[in-house]
Amino acid sequence: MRATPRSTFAAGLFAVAAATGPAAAGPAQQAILDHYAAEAKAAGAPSAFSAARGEAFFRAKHGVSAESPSCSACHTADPRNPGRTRAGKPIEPMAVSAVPTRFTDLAEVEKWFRRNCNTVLGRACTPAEKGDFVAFMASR
Amino acid sequence: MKPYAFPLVAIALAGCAVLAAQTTAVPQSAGGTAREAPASPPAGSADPATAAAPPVTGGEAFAAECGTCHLPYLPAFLPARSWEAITSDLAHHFGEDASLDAATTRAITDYLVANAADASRRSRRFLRGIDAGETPLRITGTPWWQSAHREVSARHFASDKVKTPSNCAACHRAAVSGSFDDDD
Repeated sequence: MRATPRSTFAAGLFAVAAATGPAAAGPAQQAILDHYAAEAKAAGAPSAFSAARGEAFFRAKHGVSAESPSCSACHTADPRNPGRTRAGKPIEPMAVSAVPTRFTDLAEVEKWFRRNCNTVLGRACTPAEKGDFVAFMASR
Repeated sequence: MKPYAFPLVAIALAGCAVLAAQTTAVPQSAGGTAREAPASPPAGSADPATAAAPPVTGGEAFAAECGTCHLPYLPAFLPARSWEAITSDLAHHFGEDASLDAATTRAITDYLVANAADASRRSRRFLRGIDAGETPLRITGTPWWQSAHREVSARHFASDKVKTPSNCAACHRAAVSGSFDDDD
């Protein structure tokens, strides 16, 4: 196949986008991480968050709900992909690199942690778990 | 501005006027409660400022909150007592915590009850076969739904495209705007 100038340009753009690698947390995501760090500290828990721990948490089967055993059951194993609700509706990717508006509104983030932690873990998530989760999504 | 932009805007405005006329023609419920028009998808809004505004009416809250996870089902598909039962325990909503703050829950409940199957003569047909003492919680469990879908195979419902009978829009393309007439 012969590369046209336009397709070469598009491929170049793609290469640049891919080369920038994992997206760093923007100021809005950082504010959310800071919020959970303060909460974790107040609870006497470690406030240094780990994307690796967040990833393990995201994929773990928590053994509470048959329909929603893990976060990845709906969000898929790779959070850069769109997910799907149990009722078949698409869910926008969770990864900040795919959807930069993710984890920018604390009320929205808290709403979904409140509901989904209850559904998947049968309890509220700790500030440390939330912080690790956001750190993982901001690293993707 | 492109030369053909004005006629397009004029057509869009005319379309809105027609929609508004249809909306106001929706009959009032027996109790005199103003019935909201079925929530339309926000994509129809031409004004970004309006589209970004937080939900205010019960119908908009229903479309925005409930519609995040599933099609905002037609309120006429269940009797008022069913909607009240469902919204009274959103923390245990078909295996998921779908809880909302009290004010939003109230607004959504009021909208669903005002537009439920028993709220207008036109939607009474959806009550067929449901005993007065029965409170169905699943639209897919009602006799009219089962009768309407009796020719659809279990394999089709389980297919990747559909996934579950709750996914109306997988087959009914216009379901989100309240039309279930297409059977493609």
